Amino acid sequence: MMTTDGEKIIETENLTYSYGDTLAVDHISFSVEKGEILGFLGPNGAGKTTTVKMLTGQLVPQEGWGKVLGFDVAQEPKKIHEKIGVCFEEKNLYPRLTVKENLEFFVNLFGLEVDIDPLLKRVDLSKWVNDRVETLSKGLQQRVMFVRSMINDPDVLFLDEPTVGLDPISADAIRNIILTEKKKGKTVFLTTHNMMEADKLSDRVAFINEGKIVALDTPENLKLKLGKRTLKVKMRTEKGFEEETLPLRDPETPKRAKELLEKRNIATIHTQEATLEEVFMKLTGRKLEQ
Amino acid sequence: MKFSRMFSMAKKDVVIITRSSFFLYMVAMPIVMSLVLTAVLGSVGTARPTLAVYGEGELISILEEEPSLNVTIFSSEESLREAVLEGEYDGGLLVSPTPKLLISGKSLLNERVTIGATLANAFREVSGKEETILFETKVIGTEGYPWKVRFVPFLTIIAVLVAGMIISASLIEEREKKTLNAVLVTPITPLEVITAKALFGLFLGLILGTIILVLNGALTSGFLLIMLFLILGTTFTVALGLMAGVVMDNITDLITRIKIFGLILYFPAFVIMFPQIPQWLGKFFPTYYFIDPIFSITQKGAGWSDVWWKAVVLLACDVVVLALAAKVLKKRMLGKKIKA
Repeated sequence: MMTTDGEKIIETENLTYSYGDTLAVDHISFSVEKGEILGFLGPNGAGKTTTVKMLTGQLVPQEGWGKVLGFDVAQEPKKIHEKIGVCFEEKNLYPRLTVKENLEFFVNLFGLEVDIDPLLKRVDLSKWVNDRVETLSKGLQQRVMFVRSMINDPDVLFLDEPTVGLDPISADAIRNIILTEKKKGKTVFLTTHNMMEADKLSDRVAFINEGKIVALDTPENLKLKLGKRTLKVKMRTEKGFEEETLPLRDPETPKRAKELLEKRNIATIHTQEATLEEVFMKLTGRKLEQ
Repeated sequence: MKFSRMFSMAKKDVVIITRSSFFLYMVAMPIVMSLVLTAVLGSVGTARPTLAVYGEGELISILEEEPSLNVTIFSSEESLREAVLEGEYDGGLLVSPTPKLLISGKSLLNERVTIGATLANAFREVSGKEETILFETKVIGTEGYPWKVRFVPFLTIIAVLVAGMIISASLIEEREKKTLNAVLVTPITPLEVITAKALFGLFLGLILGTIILVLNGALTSGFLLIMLFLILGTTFTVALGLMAGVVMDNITDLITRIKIFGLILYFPAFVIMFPQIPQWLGKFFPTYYFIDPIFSITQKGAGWSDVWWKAVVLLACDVVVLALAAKVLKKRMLGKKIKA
């Protein structure tokens, strides 16, 4: 799935940030390679947004270092800003400007001449181009935010909950754009609560909890190593249905499965994969949605 | 620093201001106040000066035809003196035996100049000679300014304070709505953002200040000197506005603070408005060095030699407040939290 050539686009070493006495990000080290999508998962307050803020030059790391596209995040943020796109979790558009005015303003800040219409079409926003942002629904505003992060054709996209508040069709459209950008060799740092999304899009996922990275691997490996794959058997009984879950790695499972198939009235039978949520809970004892 | 980025920032601010009732109210407030005061009290400089005349001869008929004066003929010297003394007329002319001009202490400089020049022309016309005309002139009654004049410094100070307030509110709004975060992850630097807002504030203050002076008929002389003081005064309020913009948490907080601390900025205007207040008190407030020179230039005909030291004091105030603003901005915006 990963299409990297080994070039590290994002690198951190002992990256640390505290708000007063609260340690928000605690000496985290990781790297993201060119063309890779890294899903950055964790519950609220885990340190996801603070990490993004340091990597995008909005906060200066108090310890350690971070590099994006080879530029130090503390020393050369403006060189980084020219080549990245950031989609914030909070809706931070100019409400009294129209969609077009909002986007053109940012195009001008980048000193570019960009035709925004094709971008608007990609997220089905053309109809609202002359509407003021304050009149748009949250979902439409989210789409504008996403388009804004793409206007400079960035090499690296920092996406903080890019599909939050979107209907399933719009969310899928945005996910497809993310995958298209990845195919073009763009690197994506995806912060999300949505494990399904992270699972679907990410080449690797990092779990962050209480400011520390507790696991970093491909979703598949994490689920294999830490998740529990099961065989779920649903049987018809006189009173309705009965269910039995058999762990796939248990040597007794084939024998028990055979027994059930022979002696019981089976309604459905299927294997069940571990989810990233379960993996995260196993690692931290916390739910991602917390 | 890149001008095109700063221009985009300022252009965006202009559009936002035109679409916000709060910002529009702030810009319109001094203009509406000026229009209301002009309607109620009359304009400072556009009405014709009033001249009471007692006497006979060709001079009277020439003066009656004069479009630049509003002439009233009096039947006695006593009633003319009383009317001028009470300030009902800007001047009074006693034609015989030798011409004598009585000037009301309440008349304005431009009115005195108009009366003097018109009379000199009329005398020349009667004598048929192009020579210097000398006539006795005496100021009678208490020297003072009518209400329409005393309001001008107050309105001018509001105009430049509005510029500072708008910049402050615009910065607070950008912080509140987090749009500043989005702006600062583009190539524009925090310094460019601040400079764009400061220049926009300066431009707004200059335009508003000029409109107020024009509406009140006070921009009759010393244009360049007035512009200099408007620039220095607006720089002061814009620097205060930038500081408030990064320190205050929200616009309500800003308005509350302005209600409390605004008096310090308005006080010199009240000193001019109410001559009963000891005038030296005004000198302890920085804005005195902004409005007093403008008042002196527009109403007393003061020149550079009269007001230069006030420009120096105001410039020093600007340097201090800009240095403070730079320190606060560096700590709050350019340094600790967001690196330039």
